[in-house]
Amino acid sequence: MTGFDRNRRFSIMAQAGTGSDDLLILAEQVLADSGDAVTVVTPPRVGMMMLRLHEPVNGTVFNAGEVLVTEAQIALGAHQGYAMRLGREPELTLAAAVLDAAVEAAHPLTPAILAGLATLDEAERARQLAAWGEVAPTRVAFDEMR
Amino acid sequence: MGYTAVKGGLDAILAAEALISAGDGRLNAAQVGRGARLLIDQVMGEGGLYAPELAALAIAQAEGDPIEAAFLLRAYRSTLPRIGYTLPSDGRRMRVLRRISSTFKDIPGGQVLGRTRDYTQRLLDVDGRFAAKARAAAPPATAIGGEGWPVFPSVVDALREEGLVRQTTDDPTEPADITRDALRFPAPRSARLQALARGETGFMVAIGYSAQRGLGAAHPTIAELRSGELPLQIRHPLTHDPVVLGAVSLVEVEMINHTAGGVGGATIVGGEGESSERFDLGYGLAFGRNERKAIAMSIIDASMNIPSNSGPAADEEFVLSHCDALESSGFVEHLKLPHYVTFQSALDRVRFRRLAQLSAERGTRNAE
Repeated sequence: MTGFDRNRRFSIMAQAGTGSDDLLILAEQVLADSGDAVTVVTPPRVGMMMLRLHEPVNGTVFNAGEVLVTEAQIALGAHQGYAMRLGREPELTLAAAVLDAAVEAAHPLTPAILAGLATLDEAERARQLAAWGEVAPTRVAFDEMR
Repeated sequence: MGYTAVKGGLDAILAAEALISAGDGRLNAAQVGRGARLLIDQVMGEGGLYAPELAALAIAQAEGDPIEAAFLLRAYRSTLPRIGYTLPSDGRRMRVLRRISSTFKDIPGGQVLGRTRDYTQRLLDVDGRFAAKARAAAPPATAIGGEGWPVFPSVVDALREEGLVRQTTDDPTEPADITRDALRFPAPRSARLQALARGETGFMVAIGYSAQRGLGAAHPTIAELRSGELPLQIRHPLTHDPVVLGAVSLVEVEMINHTAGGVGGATIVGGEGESSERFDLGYGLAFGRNERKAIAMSIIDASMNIPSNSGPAADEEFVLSHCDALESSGFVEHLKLPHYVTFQSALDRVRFRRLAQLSAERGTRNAE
């Protein structure tokens, strides 16, 4: 079983694309098992994060524009779960917060959740590799003219 | 035509809006998302909100009008809470999908053209055959190993190591935020860059072009243009550690002003007994792949960075006061709205002066 720490879990669930519906299924199972132990601390809310960039001329940090995000926070008994995703994603974000809390609480579904995260992590790596693979043939090979 | 206060027109307004809403054959957001990604990039930039799905919806709703779509996006933005700030990201951490330099042929990591039509002819594909031809002519896809995304060292950093461009400094000042505080001049650099990053593409290109035509001393060349996916980090509210939230699509341009010597060339720096020359730089940024705007922004920034420069692009107050699409189009287009009272007032003044003049002339004739 892969032992992702909490920060890593956050990032995998935040970036999950293809296959992210599995998060919904797992979260529904956790909720079905947990009954009244689940409290919604912050219902999924759509908002903005200001994107800050380091510009490379002087090294000045500036506000480049806002990015649409959704965040949610829940509690499973004494354990908190937090998630944020880009875009308007209330269901997936809530599911990610539930799964975060479930792993913190050592819920019986933890092995299945971590296995699901490993699959999503691999899918994201594959997506990135494919994205680079698509443009790699456009790398320029110059010929010297003599 | 005397002055009359009016009200009404509601039925006409509703009927006019219905003509748009009932339009047949309109694109939906999914179609815009698939087929107009560059327009989405422009709208997100001018709207100041990175939200590709909402920008597509705005474009569909605005019938393809980018400024109207940016308006819709910014109006929606005003209803949202700002949850926080990302940790400052650096373009050098971008997962590069395109990267070119027009100053050096050989750059560390090489040049990657990416997805572009920059180097092919502009021919209208009237018989719909170009896509198939392009696919047939492309070399076979490269097999990619598992080493991950290549690293592309910065071109400007190589010049910086030689002392040919200014060193960067860690400025602890909290960045200005023009969405919260009105611009004041001279603007801090952070405010300038924020204003330009959400500037209107056409305006920015025109001002950048004016600098290239010689209005001012800039003679810009692209040291590096890179676009791709930039990972964003936030501080996790429970662990308080930096965590990756996801990635946004961006294009960055580092522009170098290359005329040697004098105003608009390399800036001469150094204290007593020493003298050296450094090239002035400019920076441009745009959401997505709006390269035209990012290049224009970098020309404008470089123009403003050149000491003692002149011309429209170097006039910070002029550029920053006029680059916002919503402010400019809103003020221009508000002229379509009723100005009956304003104009009637002007009309009354002119009529009164004419009567006074006629009366004076008659009085003079009678006296004669």
